[in-house]
Amino acid sequence: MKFIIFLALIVSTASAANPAVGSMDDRAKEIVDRVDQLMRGDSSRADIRMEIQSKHWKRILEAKAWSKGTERALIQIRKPVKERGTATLRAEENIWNYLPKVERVIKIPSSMMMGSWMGSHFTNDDLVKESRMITDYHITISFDGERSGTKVWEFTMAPVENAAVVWGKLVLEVRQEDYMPTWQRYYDEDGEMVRTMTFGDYRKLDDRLVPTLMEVRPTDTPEEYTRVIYQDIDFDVDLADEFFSLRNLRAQRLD
Amino acid sequence: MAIGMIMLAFVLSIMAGMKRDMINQGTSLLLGHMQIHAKDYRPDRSIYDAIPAGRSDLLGQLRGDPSVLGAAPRVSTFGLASSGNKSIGVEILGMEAAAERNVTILHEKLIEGSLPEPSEQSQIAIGELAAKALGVSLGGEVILIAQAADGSLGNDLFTVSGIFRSGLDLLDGGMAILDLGAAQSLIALPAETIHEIALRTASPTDAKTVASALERTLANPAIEVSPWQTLTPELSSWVAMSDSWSWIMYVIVFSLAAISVLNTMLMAVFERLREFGVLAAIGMKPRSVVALIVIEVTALAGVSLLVAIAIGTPLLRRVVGKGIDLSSFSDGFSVTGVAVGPIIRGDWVFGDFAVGAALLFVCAALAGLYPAMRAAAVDPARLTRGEIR
Repeated sequence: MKFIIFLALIVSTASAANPAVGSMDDRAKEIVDRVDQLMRGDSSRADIRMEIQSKHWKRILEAKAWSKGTERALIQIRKPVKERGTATLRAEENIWNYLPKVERVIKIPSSMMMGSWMGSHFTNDDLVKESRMITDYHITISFDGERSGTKVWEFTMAPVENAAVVWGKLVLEVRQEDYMPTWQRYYDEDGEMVRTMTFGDYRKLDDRLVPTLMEVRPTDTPEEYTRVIYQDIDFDVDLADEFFSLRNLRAQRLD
Repeated sequence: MAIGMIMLAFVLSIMAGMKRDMINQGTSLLLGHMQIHAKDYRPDRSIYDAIPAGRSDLLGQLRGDPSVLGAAPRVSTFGLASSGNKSIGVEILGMEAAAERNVTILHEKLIEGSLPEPSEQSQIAIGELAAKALGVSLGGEVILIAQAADGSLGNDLFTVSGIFRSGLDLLDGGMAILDLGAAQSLIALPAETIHEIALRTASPTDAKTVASALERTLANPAIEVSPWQTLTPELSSWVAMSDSWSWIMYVIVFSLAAISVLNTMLMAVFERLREFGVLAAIGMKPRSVVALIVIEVTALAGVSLLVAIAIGTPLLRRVVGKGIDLSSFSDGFSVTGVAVGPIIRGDWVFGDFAVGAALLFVCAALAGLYPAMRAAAVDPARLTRGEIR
């Protein structure tokens, strides 16, 4: 669900054009600050295809996803049939999974936050932590210029002191012309790169330019990846907070 | 000296008993004396590194081996156990309850119910602490979720059929036991696939030799047989440490014994200097005087030993039989991942006792040499002049 949250962030970034001019660091903060404000209340409904390639198997999931702000998201698997109805709800700091086979809702304990989400290369933690980027990380512009013919910014995010985060450092590259992200790298506390998220297939969906492909690759097993493809997305849909309920998590036919 | 002997025997017995308990507890609870895995299985324990041989063939071969008293196949993975609003991370272990009884004593640790039976694919046994954390009791419902081998999210509903208390928090709080078949279906593994075979042999002490012999017999380079020493390095280093402790005990007890012998014999010699002088005067050789004293010391050691046996035997019998009950201090404790009960029983380590007794004799004889030499050096001429009293 990180991709949903991330998308919200990107969309908002695009509309936050022309931030106030200040020092480099202030500017970085300014951009993300505005993003943060703009993200609240923003909602979306998307059709997603997820391809997971591991050393031992390849899986394709199709799902429907709803999000509101950075704190609420619901994703429901539609295919394969065997897993139809399996769903994940994120509300504030909590994550629940619904398992149609046993007809039970399970709350993910904090000890399992680094566990894989639905067998993908995303962790449960990815679903909850992204929204706190602005408060948990100190953001600087570490590069401002041209890379392979494209003007880009590179933001480096270091966790602020005492922040409860799992990453030691995040580096994000954004295209200056349209505020589209190109990649984000994740580093652990020892400064070793752990995984890379790459963005691509920028397309206009619901009149907004978005990266419709996101691919995450673990650094130590580069032959593995999880690819998220947005097939369709609607922005600013009318979703009440109550939509993100345990009842809807269990609902089989949600639209 | 007799007290020293008793002390030594007592300590050796307790140490040996603890060592025996540690090894037995450590190996019999769940580990087995040795385990068979695919070469790449440890330490990552990936569900894909299954034992690369037909399960039934391999088990048949193992059970036919005279050195193997029991062989228990298992599958293992990590997952999430959940009940109501509560969830905990667990190690999921699929086992055959019947085979397991020949190898481990987990079934003896059940405080309620029984281990999952093959006829009931939806049974689960969990530890007391896990049950508490999940808020379930016997008959309660537990959902297990684990990454399946085909990439899907394996999930099933189980009923608690047994609750165990092993004394180890790791087990009691983080282990979910399923029937082998149920575990295989949870994580989408075929019935032939197993990750581990736990073995019981005649005695855990010769596990290393038996393991390497077994590895040669199986003659499959993709399979490894690991004795418990390899599987729990903590336990084997604890055992090595306890062995060095008994040497420290030897040194302490024998130093004390030697000092007391030296003291006793010096007194005995000085009190009888005149007598030794007379012996020398009537022509006894110094060598014979030395021999006399050493024999005396040895006799003393012999008497001490008899006294020690007389007093020590009933004492040790109690220590070995009933054990020392520490339950008034604690409910038992765990050392390097092995639960040691509140009652510590000694062991009859006759070999160690014999070594101790022999060393005591040597020590006493050595300690007697100095007084003996003093006695042999008495000058009869000075004695008659009254210079020595």
